[in-house]
Amino acid sequence: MPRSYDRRTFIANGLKTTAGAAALGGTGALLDACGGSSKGGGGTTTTPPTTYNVKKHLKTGWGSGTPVRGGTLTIGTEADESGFDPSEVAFDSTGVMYARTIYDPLAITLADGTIEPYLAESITPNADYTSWEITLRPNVLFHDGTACDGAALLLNMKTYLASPLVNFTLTYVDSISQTGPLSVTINMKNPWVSFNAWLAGYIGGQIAYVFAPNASHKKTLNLHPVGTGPFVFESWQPNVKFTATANPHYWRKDSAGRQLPYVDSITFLPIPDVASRFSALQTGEIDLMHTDDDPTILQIRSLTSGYAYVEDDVITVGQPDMDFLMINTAATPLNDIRLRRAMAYAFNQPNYRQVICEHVAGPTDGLFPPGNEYYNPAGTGYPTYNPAKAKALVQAWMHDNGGQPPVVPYGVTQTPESERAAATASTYFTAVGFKVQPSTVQQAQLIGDAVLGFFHVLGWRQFANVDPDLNYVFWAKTAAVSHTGGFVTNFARFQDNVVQSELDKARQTADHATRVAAYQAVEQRICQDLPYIFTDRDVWNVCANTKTQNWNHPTDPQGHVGLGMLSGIIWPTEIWKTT
Amino acid sequence: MIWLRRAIQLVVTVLLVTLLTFLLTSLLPGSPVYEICQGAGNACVKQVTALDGLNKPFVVQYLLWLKHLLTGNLGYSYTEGASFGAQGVPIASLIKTAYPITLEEIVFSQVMALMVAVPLAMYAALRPNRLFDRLSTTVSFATLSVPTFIVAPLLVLIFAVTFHVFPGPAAQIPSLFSGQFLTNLHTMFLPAAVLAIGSVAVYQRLLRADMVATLEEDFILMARAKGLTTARILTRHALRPSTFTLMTVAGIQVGGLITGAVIVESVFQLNGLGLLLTHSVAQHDYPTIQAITVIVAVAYIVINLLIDSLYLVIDPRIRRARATS
Repeated sequence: MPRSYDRRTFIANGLKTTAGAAALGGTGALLDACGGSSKGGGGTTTTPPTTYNVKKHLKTGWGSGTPVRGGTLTIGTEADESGFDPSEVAFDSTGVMYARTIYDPLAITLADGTIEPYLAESITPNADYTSWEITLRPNVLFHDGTACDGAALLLNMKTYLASPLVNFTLTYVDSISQTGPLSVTINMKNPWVSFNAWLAGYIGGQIAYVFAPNASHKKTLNLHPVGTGPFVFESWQPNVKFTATANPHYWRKDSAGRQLPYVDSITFLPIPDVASRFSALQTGEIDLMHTDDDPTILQIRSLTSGYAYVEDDVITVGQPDMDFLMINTAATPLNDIRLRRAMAYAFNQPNYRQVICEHVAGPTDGLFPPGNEYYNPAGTGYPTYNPAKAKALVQAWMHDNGGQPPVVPYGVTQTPESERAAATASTYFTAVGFKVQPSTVQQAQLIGDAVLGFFHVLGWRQFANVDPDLNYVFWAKTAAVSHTGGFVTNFARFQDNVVQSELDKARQTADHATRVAAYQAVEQRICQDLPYIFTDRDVWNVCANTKTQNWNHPTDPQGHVGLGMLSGIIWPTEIWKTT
Repeated sequence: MIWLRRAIQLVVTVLLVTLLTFLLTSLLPGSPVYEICQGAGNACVKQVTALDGLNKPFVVQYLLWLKHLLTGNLGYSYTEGASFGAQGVPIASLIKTAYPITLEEIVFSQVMALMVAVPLAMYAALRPNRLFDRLSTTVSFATLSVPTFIVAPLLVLIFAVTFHVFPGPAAQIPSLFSGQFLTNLHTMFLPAAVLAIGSVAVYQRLLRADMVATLEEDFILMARAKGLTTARILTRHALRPSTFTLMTVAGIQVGGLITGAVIVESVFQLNGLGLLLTHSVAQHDYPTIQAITVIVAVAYIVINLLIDSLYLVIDPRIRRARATS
């Protein structure tokens, strides 16, 4: 999210925490009112998946006609990655696309949210989900010609377990062993029903990607990745260009038996300046771009022809990115619930959406927006804008604390957009009696502050994923206490027994209704305890010229429709370019 | 002797630049350790701090860095290709990729600026205070007053996005020596033009003023009396002695051009030193910032040294005076 964090922001522990700092942008509420729409190219082939809002989506980005072989696909991204080793570099949206280029994930998320095997032939739990057996497809080779087999997968999993970047997400894992020529079995300490969602390779699910053991042994994986994926690494100039060429021995074919991928090569150009990225798309220097910058999204929406775009507020599986102010609930004075509640009441979301977010998406009052499978129609209990109540709560706190106004340091990243958003939000809090101290810090420092607890309020972005279980490490009580190394991943440091038990319940049950109820309970507890002041839902937009086809229509090896763009991430495997 | 003095001056200046560069980057808020560890925890912070000598006194850190610099080791990026404190890509390779683009961009822009400014200045000087002179003065001030960050996106919008005359941002630039010379120039034209616009105004005004004075010299009167054509007088007799100020300013301008390159390369996504510097600053990649700053500073000093030397070539009076002394 350029306006708050660029990709290399979050990282580390949080895997998925592409969390963007900065309380910026945003929007909120009713998706129908403010959400994106789609137009332009892309033909139709089959019935669109039910998880899309059909009115808005119209299957944009689905290929039209017969696939065309050849050409170079050029994708403009918001930033570059710092490497390719999934055990050492936390992938954000760009990184996941890199990973899908070079590696294959073990599983894929389908459009309805179900998880199916991808590189794996089967992913099978035992009866009580305390053991998962992953069996790879036969005869799949890494780009270096070595076999992708059980031994390779075992090494991968052991590497991930030893990685400080990843291992804290695998606390349920007890042991791993090779149980066949192509099989590995992962034994859990407790039932882990949603473990397969971690194998689908979205942000945070890096253990999904299988790398060649040789490259890992030689310690060259980070700069010269070797996987089984549709493209073979060719070159990488940091912040300049990453190029890969079609893997002639790729194991996947399309439903008509044509060899994948269709394009000869793929190039990613990191273009952090979103205006330049958009110009590059318009001048044909790139074929496709992603952004979550609200003004640019508005410009893209105004394009009349020659382009097609989708926005991820129409995807209702999993969980979207949210922009919010993250509060350190362990630090004085915001450890007092009255002040957190006062901040929630004071935050003028309608005004913020207009001034900062330009109404790109709708308002928000929780983790799961309307239309989402975990959305609670009964309401989340999140406070609505009410400055009078906010003032009263602040006055009550001041009465008990010597009459001085509560002082709230408020950190954001050093971008004009972040500072503008922070300035706007500060006026809301100041108006009800807070003394706000906005400050800007370097991005990495902001993350370090969150991890180590050196903050009161931070602008932040987080939570997009295909299953809320991938956010376990950010909400669990067990994650609010220090890990080895002195950091925590429950950055807001709220310690709620109910949240912990509901998270464990959701992780351990196979009953969907129970899961939904559990996550709704988590959301309600969060909306009561208020570690987050929600500002808006973050909307991602992917836009391509109409020569670029089928970029939002991934399929699994059986031909089932996969989940389309989420958080600016697409699949490169089945894209083709017309002349 | 004079060259020895110049060489000593060069070394001292470069040393001062390295010291200032190291000092200023050290004073930046925050710590590069956070960037390296990316929140990986105290263990990583301690490890990296010790490994990179960041816990050593400033002077020791500086001397270590200088020692590496003098042996041609620019170090490794803190961010690019780095993970959890592991070494990133060599900074030398980043700079090796980036510098030809910035160099070409600046040279091209200056050639472009001179090709426009010199004829305009000569024509204006020939008829001072007439319509063309006044018009060119007005246009010069107008172009000078528009900053690069406005000109660049405007030219992109007009010539790349709307009329598709030139490639837009992120266009791939073939090497100048790859056999695609024209493609290279076509791609580089717009970025160079953005840089050139400011220079044209400056060069035109300076050369015009000097040339007006030169045209009043006796030797010009003599040339006219001998019946030489105006064109010959301007190009063969008046131009050379009028270029001292122009050359001096051109040398000084190099610093401004590099600053402009940061903006131009960001807008056009040219992967030169400017864009590399922008990324490095954003990511607090201190070793890369320090390396680029030193290289640019040395280049700046050397260019101005060369321009000083050019005075000897251009003006025989200076040559003779130095020979006498």
